[in-house]
Amino acid sequence: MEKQREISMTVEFREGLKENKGKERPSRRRMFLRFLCSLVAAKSLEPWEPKSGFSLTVFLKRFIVTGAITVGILWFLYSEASKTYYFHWNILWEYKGPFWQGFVVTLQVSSITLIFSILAGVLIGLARISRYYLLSDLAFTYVEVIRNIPLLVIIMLVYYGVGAILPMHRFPAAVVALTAFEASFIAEIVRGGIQSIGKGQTWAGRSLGFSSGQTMRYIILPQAVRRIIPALAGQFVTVIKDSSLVSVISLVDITLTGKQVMTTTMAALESITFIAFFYFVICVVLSFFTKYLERRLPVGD
Amino acid sequence: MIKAENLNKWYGTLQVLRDFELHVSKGEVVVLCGPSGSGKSTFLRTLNGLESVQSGSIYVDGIAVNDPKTNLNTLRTKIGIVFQDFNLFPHMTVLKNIAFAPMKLLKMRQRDSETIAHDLLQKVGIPEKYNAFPSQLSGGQKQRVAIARALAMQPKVMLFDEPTSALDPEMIKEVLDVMANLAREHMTMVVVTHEMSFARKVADRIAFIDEGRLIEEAATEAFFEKPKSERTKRFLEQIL
Repeated sequence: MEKQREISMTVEFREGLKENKGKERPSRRRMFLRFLCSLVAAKSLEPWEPKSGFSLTVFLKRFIVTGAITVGILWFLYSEASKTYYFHWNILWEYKGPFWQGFVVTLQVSSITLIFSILAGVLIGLARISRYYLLSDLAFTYVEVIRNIPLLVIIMLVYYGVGAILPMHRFPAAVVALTAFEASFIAEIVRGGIQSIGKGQTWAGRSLGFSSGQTMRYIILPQAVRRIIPALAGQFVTVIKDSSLVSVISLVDITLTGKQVMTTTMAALESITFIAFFYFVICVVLSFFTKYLERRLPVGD
Repeated sequence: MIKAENLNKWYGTLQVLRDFELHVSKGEVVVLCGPSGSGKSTFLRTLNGLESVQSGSIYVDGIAVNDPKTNLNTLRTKIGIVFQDFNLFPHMTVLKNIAFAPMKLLKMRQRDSETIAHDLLQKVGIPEKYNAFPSQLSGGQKQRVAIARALAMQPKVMLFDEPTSALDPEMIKEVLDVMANLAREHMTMVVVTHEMSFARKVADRIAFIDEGRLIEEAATEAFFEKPKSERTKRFLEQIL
């Protein structure tokens, strides 16, 4: 029954083709519209066949569909907002100086934090898997305490709390708070990377006669590093985004600049949209770079 | 060469070795067999101190393994071990896998250790693979590299922990052939394996373990022809 229907459909299709033969071909515009319709219609909702290799048509279809939907949603929101809000995009240009300074501060905070938190994170991560209980317990406690306090609170705690003991400027306070926070995450990345190397590697190293330190240095760490580096690059994205919270202690990074522009010019939506777009562009570039690293650094086997 | 007596080992409340004993003299090939979970692999790992025992004494080449004063790292350079799942170093080439330990631990010059590595690869039959990474090798080739890596330290004893059980059937022979060649060169070997035809051809003695206890130990012919204990008979009936 099913088979028969299929055959009759094929026949109809063939005849349809024959009929079409004599007729004029539809115009390009028509074909393009038909293509668009086919995308929006059920076709684009069907699961794509995972074909071998890269297919430009499939990629374009997917790109166009998703892109169209995204742009559509954004445009809808923008036009709805325009009904009650008049956008003055040129105001942003007048504040290019402060925005640039904010950008520099954000970049400084993030990169200094990243460097220190990698150093601290590696040490804490190694301490976490140490055989000496004191070290591993201390590292465990540190990670758990820090990870269970919100970053916003930590930043205030460092600036007002530590600042009460030894006077600290905003910038170092922000870096210290962010470093303390990110180090605990990096410690977990390092620990996970090392522990993901199978027990067999340790056995193999130890039974050749390497000490536990040598086994770690020559055999475990070189393999673990290849797993850790992409995750660390990903952490840089997180640091940049997290650094927006330092505006709470009035460190004028790009977020706070945006907020100041908002209050002085009343161009609130322009400013905050620009900030969002700004973070997005930087972070999206970095995360694609991370994915690239992940593919470039395979661990053998 | 190996003298293990009255070994007892627990994992928590589970006793994995019970008054276990085994003697292996120089140049002898001993095959350990027994059902899975009987403690064969655990025993093998206690021989080079990868696993500790709660009581008993182990001497390898006259050195007490479970004496806290013994430098296990030095001792281990004299004991080669080959694992079921190879455990090659995936970040090193085949040549480096073999040459690395002699270079670092025996303070050999790089050139010398690599010459040795090339010779060993010749011996295990894959001299052309020296520049490959482990992930590019078949299971049988990996295991042969693992044997070469262990031999590079010029060990006095070789331990084999089910070296063929992770291999496809057609690769088992190439590994067993390498091991048989080693036995012919009078290497002292302790082999945990289920390959009974290999045991019959190569082993001098067979030891049968069950539930952590040495059930029977005999010269190869006697073990297969006239097993003494009932348990051994049942085991042999099932696997032969």
